[in-house]
Amino acid sequence: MSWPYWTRCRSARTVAVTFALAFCFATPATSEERAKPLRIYIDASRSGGSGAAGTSIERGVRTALSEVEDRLAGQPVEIVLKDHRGNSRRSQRHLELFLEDERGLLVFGGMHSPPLLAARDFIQESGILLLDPWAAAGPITRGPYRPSWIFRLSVDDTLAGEAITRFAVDQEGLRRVALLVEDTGWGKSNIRTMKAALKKRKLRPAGSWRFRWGLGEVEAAQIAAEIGQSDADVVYLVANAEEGELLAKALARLPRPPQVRSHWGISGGSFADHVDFETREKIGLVFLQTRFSFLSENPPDHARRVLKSAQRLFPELTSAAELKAPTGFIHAYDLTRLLIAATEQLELSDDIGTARRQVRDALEAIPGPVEGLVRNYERPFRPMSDDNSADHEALGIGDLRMGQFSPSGVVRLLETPPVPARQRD
Amino acid sequence: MRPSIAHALATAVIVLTIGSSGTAFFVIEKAMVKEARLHESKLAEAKLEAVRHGIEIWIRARIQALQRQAAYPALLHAAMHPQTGLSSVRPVLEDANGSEEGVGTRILDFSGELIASHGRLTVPNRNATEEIQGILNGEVPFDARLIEGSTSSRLVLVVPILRFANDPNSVEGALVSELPASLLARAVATWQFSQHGWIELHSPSRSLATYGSPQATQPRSVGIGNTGIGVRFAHDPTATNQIVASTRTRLVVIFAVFALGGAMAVWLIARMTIRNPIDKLLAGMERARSGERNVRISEQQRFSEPYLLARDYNRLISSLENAHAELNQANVGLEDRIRRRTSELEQRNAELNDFAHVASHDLQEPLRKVTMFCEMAMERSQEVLDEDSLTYMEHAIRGAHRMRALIQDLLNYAQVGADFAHDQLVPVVDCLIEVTENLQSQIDASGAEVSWDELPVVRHQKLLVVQLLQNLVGNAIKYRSADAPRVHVSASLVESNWHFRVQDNGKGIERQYHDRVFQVFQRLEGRGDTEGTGVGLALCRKIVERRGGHISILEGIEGGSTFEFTVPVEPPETVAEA
Repeated sequence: MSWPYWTRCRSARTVAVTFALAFCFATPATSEERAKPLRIYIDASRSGGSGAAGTSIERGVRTALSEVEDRLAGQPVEIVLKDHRGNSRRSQRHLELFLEDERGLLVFGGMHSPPLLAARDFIQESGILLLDPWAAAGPITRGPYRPSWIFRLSVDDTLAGEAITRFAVDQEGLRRVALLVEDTGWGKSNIRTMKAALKKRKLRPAGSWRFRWGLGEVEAAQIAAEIGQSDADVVYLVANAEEGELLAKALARLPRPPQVRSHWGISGGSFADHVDFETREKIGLVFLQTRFSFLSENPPDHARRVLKSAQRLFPELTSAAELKAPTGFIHAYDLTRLLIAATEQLELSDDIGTARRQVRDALEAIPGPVEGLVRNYERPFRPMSDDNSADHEALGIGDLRMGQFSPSGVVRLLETPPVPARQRD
Repeated sequence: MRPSIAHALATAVIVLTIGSSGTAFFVIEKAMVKEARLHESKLAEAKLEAVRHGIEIWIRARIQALQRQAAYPALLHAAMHPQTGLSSVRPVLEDANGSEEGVGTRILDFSGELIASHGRLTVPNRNATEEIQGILNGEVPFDARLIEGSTSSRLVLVVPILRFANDPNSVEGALVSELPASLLARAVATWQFSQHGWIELHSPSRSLATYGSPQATQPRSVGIGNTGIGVRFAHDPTATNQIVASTRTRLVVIFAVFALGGAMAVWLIARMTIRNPIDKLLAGMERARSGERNVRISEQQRFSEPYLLARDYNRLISSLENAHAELNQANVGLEDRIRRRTSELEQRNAELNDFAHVASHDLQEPLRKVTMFCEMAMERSQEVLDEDSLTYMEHAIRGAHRMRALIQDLLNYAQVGADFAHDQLVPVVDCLIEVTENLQSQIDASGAEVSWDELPVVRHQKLLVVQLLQNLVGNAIKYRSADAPRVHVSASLVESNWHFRVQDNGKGIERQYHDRVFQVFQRLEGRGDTEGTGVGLALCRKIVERRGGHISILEGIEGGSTFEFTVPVEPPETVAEA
């Protein structure tokens, strides 16, 4: 190796090294800051009966990021896992921690709606970029916030009532509907939409029951008995896996068990491990899902590739059936794909607040189609307008299906799709 | 009362009984007091433990009640989602507070932040948070803490609000009950432990309540877990002191009665079983000693030592009396026999003496005639008779002389009798002087030398002593060796006998003839060698044995002979008279 001519002069070499060193030390903070990876928080329940949902969301995010070598806008990304255990207060604390993180870019939410409902105002006011791959409560993405910082790729409760009613009333011909919802904001929003869907068909619910988190067997049996006395032939259930298990068992013990058509909260945990097939059959358990499943007969090539990527990252996933709470994976994967597409052309600012705004704006203007598992997305998010409360909803009612657990506890989609009530666009 | 060994023994036993009873009393009394104090100490510990246990149960009961409240789903909901769940928790908090005054309850979220509260709360939530943060983090078990305010102390009870009832790690908040320490104090007061002593409930820095008045100086104390509550208990010793005093009095009475009764019983038993029988025994022996015959002691009270003594005494007396009777019988026969034999002997002796005397005189007369006529015939027929006849005549005459000497000796021998009437105190040295005079011619002829030591006085007939010594000294000169005879007489005192020795330097006598020479007519040499009749030493033995003495030839002394004879010692006063 030979030095250039001008460097052969000793004094010139010294000057060059000095300048190089001076340059290095002149901007140490920026370089150091940039060397740190951007952080994506996943604040979900990772323990208890709903723990599978949190794990599934994490796997979806990691699988999607692995396709771009864990980089966003050219910068490395690392994931910070937080377990709020369904507790709104704990989730609030995690969001506060995120705000203090100078490299915290955005937060993925979890399956539970109450933490997001409770923190919605704080999120919007603090400018926390929050991507919701599962929590379904309608108010989460809505409200008077312009711009809005919350984006969802999941079932929207404003559609869930309609979707379940189409299946139970329109297709199955069930008429006496009992509403059984948890006593939270999520439950309340579902009561409204479900009642609205029934009212549209000139039906009135046989009764509505609320239950709190942490209810015991006795309380569950009492509620089930009251429902049995109401002579309902179908129960619309809005519950998470933990309480759902108790209520499903209690309903199955009734002399004439009603059919149960559930929101998808029960599919977010280990419901099928704790409620056996016989019990599930007694109540004909069917629940809401989005329209993609890895277990369909002819999954597209893209889906196969994604599954292989996931299996590479998580060797314990020996088959698609091993993927518990698949909704979380599917939605988180698609949502991360949208995030990658949005940031593809971005030059992120060093100021994290500015960077968050840049990504939020980019999400509202994703160019071209993005291939996901549920569908191919064309401009999934738009800036919030006053007349379209679904601007931050990536999915519409056409993306919903009803599903049920196979005898081995795997979620399988039913063939008949709900009739679309309205088309997007 | 007569002093006696039995009396002394009985007295000693009584003293010992009283002494040992007293000692036993002091030992037992000390042990009793020690045991009472130990019991009191254990009782105090047990009571303290009971108070501690009671407080723990009281706190546990309150914690359990609080746990039941915390299990309401409304509380979990409020702790997790206070935005929507607060409205329904007020009845639960009111229920938790109950009707007691000064109680307050609050709900904290998972991080210890206040969610809702009801009732009287004086401990700032900040303090409560510090206390229970460890509990919420699972670092310390759920418990109660005493938190001290500026004027009063409050007991803070904390229980977790669990997401899942069976999962202690699913803590989502805490239900905290705060109550005045006076509630606990009131509960402790109802247990009425204070009637047994003094109880104090205290915090690390102040006394919360006291019950009873302190009587003891060594209170015990114990802490209630890690609550910060302490209990001090001092047992009231008054009751124990009273019990000790009354027990001591009873003990004194019991031991006094026992000691006196025991001493009395010992005295009576000793009198009945020892002294009375021994008195009877002594009286019996006294009667027996005074000559009374057939004295028997009553043999009551078998198996006691006096009984054995009396039995053995009676047996002894019986056997003695039997022996006495037999002896009397034997004596009677024996005396008769002795008397008869003595008279026979005396008669025979007299006859023998008479015979000897008669024989001697009667033999001497014809012998004198034979000798006289032989000598006359020899003198007249000296010319007629030839040499051989003369020699025969000389032999006949010599034989006749010899026979005369024999007869004389036999007469002497026969005359030595048991007649002690003429015995007198005889200085032996006088006898010896007389002997040397009698033997002067032989002494001179042989050149003999007779010497003696200091010699005693003996009771004997002087003539017999002179005969005894003359025979022995004469024999020494007669049976001389080639050297000039030397005879020495000595005496020594051995026990109650004088031992006389006559020692010479003559030919000596062989061991085998030591007994034979003392027999009559026994000579060791032929008649031709020396003159002698063979009666001399037999006469010596008879003289010595007459006074109970003994004569012998001493063995083992080379060169010559040593004759030893013994004579009983005469009492000194009689000697002095001599």
